Amino acid sequence: MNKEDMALREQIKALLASQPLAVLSTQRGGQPYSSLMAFAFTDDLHAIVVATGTSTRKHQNIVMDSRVSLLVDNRSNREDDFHAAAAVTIMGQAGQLANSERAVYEGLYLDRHPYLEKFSRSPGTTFFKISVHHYLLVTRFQKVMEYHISDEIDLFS
Amino acid sequence: MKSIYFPENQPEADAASVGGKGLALLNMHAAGLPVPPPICISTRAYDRCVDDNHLREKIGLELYRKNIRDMRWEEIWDASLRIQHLFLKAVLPQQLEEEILAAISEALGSQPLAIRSSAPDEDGAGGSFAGLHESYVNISGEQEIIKKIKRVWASLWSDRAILYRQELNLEVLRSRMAVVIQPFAAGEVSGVLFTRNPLDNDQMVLEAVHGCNKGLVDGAVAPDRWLIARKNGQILEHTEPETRDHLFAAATAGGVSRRRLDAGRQNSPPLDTHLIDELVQVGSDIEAMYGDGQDIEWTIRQGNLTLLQARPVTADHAENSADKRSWYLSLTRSYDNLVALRERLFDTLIPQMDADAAHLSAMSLDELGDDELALELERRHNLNERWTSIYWEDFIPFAHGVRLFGEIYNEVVEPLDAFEFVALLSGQKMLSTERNDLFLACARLAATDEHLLSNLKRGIVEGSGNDAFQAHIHTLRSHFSTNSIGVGNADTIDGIIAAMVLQYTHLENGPDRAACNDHDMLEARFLEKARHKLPMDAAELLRLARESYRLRDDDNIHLGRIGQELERAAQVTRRRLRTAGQPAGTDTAVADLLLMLQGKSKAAAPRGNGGTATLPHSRIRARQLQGQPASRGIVTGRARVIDTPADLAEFSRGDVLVIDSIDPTMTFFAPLAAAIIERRGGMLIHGAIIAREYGIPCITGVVGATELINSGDRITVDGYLGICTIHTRGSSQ
Repeated sequence: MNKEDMALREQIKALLASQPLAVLSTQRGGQPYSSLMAFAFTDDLHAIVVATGTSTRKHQNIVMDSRVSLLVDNRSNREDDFHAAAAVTIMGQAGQLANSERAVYEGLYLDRHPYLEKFSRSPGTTFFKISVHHYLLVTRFQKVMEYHISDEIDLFS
Repeated sequence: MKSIYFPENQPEADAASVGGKGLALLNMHAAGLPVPPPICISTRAYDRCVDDNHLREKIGLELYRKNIRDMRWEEIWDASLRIQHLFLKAVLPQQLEEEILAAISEALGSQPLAIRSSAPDEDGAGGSFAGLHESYVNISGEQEIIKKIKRVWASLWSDRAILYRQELNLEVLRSRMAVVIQPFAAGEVSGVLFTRNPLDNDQMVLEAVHGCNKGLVDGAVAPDRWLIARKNGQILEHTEPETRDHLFAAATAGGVSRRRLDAGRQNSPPLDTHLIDELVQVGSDIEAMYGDGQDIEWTIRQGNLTLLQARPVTADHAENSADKRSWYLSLTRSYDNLVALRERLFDTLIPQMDADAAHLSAMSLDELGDDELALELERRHNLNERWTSIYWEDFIPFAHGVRLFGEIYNEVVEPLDAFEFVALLSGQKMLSTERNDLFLACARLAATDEHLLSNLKRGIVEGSGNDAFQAHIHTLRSHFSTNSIGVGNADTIDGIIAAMVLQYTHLENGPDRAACNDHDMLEARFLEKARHKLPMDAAELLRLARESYRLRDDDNIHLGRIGQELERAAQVTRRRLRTAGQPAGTDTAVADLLLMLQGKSKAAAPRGNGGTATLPHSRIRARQLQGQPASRGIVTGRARVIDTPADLAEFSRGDVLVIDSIDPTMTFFAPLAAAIIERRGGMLIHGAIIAREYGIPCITGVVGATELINSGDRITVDGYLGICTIHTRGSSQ
């Protein structure tokens, strides 16, 4: 990995690590739907983990269309956010965890959010692994850099 | 914290509220020293105005557009101009304005005022910001007072002040500024006293001039200088200036102006021994009060001494070579200095440079023997070095004329756009646009000459048999430095010229110079508003600015004529060496060519390109890049990245040019380009100048532009906001 890739990757990881919550966007029938979610991420940035109740709208939306987007940012809701805040938009595809994956990804999630243990163990809760296609990091108000995980060409751009 | 501190509030004041200068003056006044009563507009007042006008984040967006360490000085100057303009356009909260005006009226009446900067001690290093911020004297009238307070605040954001804070690693957005307001003391004699000579602790240094001390502080009037023994006040040495022919005195329109000193006073030093004794005594008292050596500004009116300010002598700074303040202070050039420089440039240097180039170009080199050729190559090399050095020393500083004009224009016209003044300077006849007109003339000839057209398609520009065309080509080469674009190979240069002429044939109506319709209106408005307000003739200032703007682009073409004559000799040498079986490549240095020609060195192997380094596969793609909006407009098109001048031959009409930095000898593609993106930043760099001439969008200062954008990418260039968006990737070339 070259120096620039490494630097951008570390910048994205630092931003994800600094925030417990992300905004998840799903859609149904062309209508976007946004939800605030606890999340965890893998060290290689390939996957994001979220959990939701099976009866929720977002769950139904993901079942019907697995393409999702997440937004994570470090805004402080002050004026200086405009030059100082960073935001990352994550493009990816959500899928339920395979049995073999459950321990790893649920562990990752609970390490970050130990207070959500009861919620995560509930039979009505499902974990989704979002396989990331690419990240778009926005800094300095309008500088946008993409970090691609997948080699597929511009599937979501 | 109060917004305003009166002399009676002295016990509550500190440097964070009223700044170092304000605090010293309040303290000296309270101690009974001869100081005009100071009123301090505190840093809280600054904050009130900044917050009310939302300036803090506007400054943040300006300074954090990119890493400040990646900004060239020119870019910081551009940002500084925009930030200072925000202050000039800011409206003080009504209540604050009323408080300030009432305080002044109550405490000082309607007498002329001195309005001075007083920066809080941000770095804890004493008065190290001295000289970086503005002060104004002889100011009257409510409007003018408020305007000058805003200008003092704005001076916190001068390029020099930003650079200096950055140098000290200060968090620039935390900077604040207080203002001191006092009655203006218009002395007949003024000066500076160092109670400790930074170079000799046993001495005091006293400098004095006739009139106000502006001339002394700015260096425009040479002072009389005394060295005085600290132990007994004895004068050790008196150095008189070469002449005492000028002074600065209060001007009727406000401020101070430079005038001739009457003959009577020209022969007499500004101080007699009695006044020197008095100054030494007061200086000793102030030093005793503060415990450190003091740098004291003073003035004397009708025999009465008034102290203008006192601050610790920063001996550390005088001796510390790492301190770059003097360099920052030297970034500005005075009007007088620029006028003198113009004379030297236009009357002496440019004619000399052109004469040298003409002389060189008239020489036939092929007939020279090897030794003669070696001598000639060396002579040309030295000449090129000499002119390049003059270019840096004299031509580059002259570009400051544009900046000086911009600052003055913004102050007198108060336009909405901080860079409106550039419109008043563009649209001139420049060498680069004259050259482009010649390219068009060549294209028109080619359009009606099948033989010529077919030659051009094969990259051939010589021997077409079309005399008019060949005459144009000759002029392009000799007069417009078209051969000095740095490719070092005659065939490549011909290929580029041929490709450009062919591309120009697609310009049906010729290059469309962006006509500035309101040019005359802008000029008339500036001259009207500037009348009686400036210490110089406004029309003359505008002329100087236009010459400065034009020369900024033209000078490289003048210098390029010398450069291409050096290259011509190098080409002849290379050809001769190759014929003799010696491998001389286009990148063999002149020094090596000389040795080889004289048979003194084993042929140095040409370095060659060594192939392109292959970067490991990157997962990064730029989606949107930011730079500085340098020419307006929005365009979407195909990117053409120019890594070497030879790539210019591939440039097609309608491409968006993406380049590291443009030399004026290369700007012939500008009329063909849909937009220009340049890594090098600045509003007044060549790419920006030529883009404005042709009315095409331009963004400068895009970090990593040529690495992050590939030829063939479909991109949108937003010349209003300075943003480049990359839509789809093209084939990397």
